[in-house]
Amino acid sequence: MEILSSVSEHGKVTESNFPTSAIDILGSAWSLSDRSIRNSLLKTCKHVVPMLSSTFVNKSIFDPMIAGFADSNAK
Amino acid sequence: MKSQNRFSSVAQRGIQKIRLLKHPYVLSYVDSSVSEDSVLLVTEACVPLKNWIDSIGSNRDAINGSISSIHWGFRCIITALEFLHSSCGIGHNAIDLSTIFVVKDGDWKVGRFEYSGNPSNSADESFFRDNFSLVPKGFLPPDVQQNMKIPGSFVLLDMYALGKCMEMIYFEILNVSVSDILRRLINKMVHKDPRHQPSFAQLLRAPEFHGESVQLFIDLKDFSLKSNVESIEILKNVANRVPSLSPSMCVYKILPIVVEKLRIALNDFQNRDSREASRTVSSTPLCKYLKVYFPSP
Repeated sequence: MEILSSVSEHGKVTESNFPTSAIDILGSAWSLSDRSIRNSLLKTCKHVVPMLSSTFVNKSIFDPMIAGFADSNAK
Repeated sequence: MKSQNRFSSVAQRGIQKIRLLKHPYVLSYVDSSVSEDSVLLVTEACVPLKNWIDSIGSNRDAINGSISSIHWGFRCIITALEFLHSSCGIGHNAIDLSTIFVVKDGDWKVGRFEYSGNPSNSADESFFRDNFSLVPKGFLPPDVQQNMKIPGSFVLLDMYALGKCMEMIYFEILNVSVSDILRRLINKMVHKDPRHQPSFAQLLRAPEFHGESVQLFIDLKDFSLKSNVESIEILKNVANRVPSLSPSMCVYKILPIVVEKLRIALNDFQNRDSREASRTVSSTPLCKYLKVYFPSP
């Protein structure tokens, strides 16, 4: 995730050539309820989200992120 | 018309050769078409090395940022020529900046095999004799240009031409400093006495072609063979070097590897979760009680 974030942060990739396979993986990762994965995603989302479409962010990231605020179960 | 047929037959010869050659650093054949007035060849996406070098421009920062890619590119070409000479028993015979191509992920690949072959083979020797006027002359040794005849050793030709490519790119176009070892090797490659030419093994021992500058490329090439511990170390190294890497290398070489690793990790996550859950349950007091009073047979 750090590499994805670093690549986006330093302008090495744009929204047009960001791999669709990476987008699918991000959707799967956000759907998991593991705290360490969510922590990693939150740290890197600032630079990765600009590479994603608004539709994807609304559909696959926003709801899981909000659900994370209700997390009280330490895994 | 006769001249057009001659060009067409030379081009078709190149297509026949490239269809048969399979190597990571030989341009991949995709499709071809021959008609009365044209010969079309479709390969993987690439740009000629000359165009790629021109795109770097004269900006010092851009040149410094591309040095590792250039070292890696020459290592790819050395590997490809070694394959042609040792495994295929042929030489390329026309190596120059227009027959080396750069693909999307930054690898350099050899293309345009119209003049490849073994001069000691009678059919190839006859072809060279009949079509020598069409062979690109720029990177041929002076005595070959003067005698207008391909010498018996294709190793000599390819090594000389590769040396001229290195000389042109490192010293004339980009004006970058190289190690004394590589400088001496390049001088030997373009020496008028072919007995001074180094072998490919000697060339690969130059610091530029096996040292720190290309180690990342070597690690990424063999990434799928690495253990988990080695993979993590390589990815840590990649993360530190992202600012200095080219965008095309990031998009086409690094991101596919990272995404694949993430995919495998996420696929395994459910199994790992189940294992951790079962361990947690089995360590509870109830399970310990059950084990004591109902031991497994």
